Amino acid sequence: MEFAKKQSKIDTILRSVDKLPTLPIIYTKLNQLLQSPNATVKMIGSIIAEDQSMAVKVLRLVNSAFYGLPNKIGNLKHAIVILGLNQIRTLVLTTSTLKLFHNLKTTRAFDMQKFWKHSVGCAVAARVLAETASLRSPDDVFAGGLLHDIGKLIHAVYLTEEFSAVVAEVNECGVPMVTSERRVIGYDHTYTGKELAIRWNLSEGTIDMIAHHHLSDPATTLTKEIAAVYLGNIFSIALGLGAGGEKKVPIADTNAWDILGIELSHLESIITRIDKVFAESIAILEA
Amino acid sequence: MGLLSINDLQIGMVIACEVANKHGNVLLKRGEILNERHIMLLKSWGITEADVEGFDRDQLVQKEREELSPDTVASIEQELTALFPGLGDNPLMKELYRVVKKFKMKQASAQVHGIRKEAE
Repeated sequence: MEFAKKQSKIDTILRSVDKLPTLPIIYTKLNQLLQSPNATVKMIGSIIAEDQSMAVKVLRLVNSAFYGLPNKIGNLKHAIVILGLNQIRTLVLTTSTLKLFHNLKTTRAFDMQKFWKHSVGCAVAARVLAETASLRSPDDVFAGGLLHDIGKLIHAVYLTEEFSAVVAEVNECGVPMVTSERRVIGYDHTYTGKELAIRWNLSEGTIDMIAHHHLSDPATTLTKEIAAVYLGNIFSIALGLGAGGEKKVPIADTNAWDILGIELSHLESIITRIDKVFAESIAILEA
Repeated sequence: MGLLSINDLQIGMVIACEVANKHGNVLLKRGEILNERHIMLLKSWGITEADVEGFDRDQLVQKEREELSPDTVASIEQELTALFPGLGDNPLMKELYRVVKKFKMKQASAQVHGIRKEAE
């Protein structure tokens, strides 16, 4: 099959909207509201309150050790003010994708639970890197990390047979997943992920982080945000936080580390922090 | 003396070389005996390592290694060898390997201590 033909196949999959996983309404609503200059805490609170499990998670997050507040917060509006809108958006996105993953059936080749943890692991690692490098929006980097492998999900659900062959090859030969995907399917999960992200109307920054998290296209301009997600993925694999199907830790391109401007002696405290925040995040999200 | 990661500093250790923040202000003088406040101070300034008397990284790794059974150490090493490709002379990957290995050993040793405590 030549590339154009394969491309039209993924187009067909992605265009059949009724079959395509969608982000829950609450995320879309909240995102729209957060972009409006007239958004108030009350309006945001009422959207979140519609979803009981979301409201519980917001309260649990604000009362977690992470914030170390002296008093317990029981009021949703109060919690939103403390967490800030970006945190809220990240939490809603994370919870939404968790639901999305759980609603899809796990095939033998693809352990959804481990995949979900790998996504959170990469998101946490990318955010810790973004914070250490003082990037402008660590929360956006978190979102990029969370969704970086979303293309694999499409492959697992809609190209079940081909993807099983990919997983088998990765397991038996230890090749990088993108290599096997390109050979078996014709394109890799960064391409599918990018196409899905475009159809989900995600921000350009998020689309770029998904599309380039393997730095496989040499023509890509390496931004700090892309570097954080790229390294976040590698670190989460090295630490064994969940599993995205990769058998080996990819060898990191040192340019990605250099562009973040972090000294190598910081790596140990970065890794320690990633592990701690990961455990906390999983505890809050799974509760 | 030896350069230790902030995570390995312990109360009672003696500072071998003065520690300054990024503005050049001295936070801890040579000869100072570490207390809890000192460690908090270093952390709040984002200091990642300090030189202390009588300890070094290799020694600590050795100590941790001795606490674990050879089987545990071997299985950690085996797991990481399978996971990490040849590192070559990529400084980032070498450091990542070192840190992750140390981390896994620490987790294993915490588990051993946990079991011992429970037994007591």
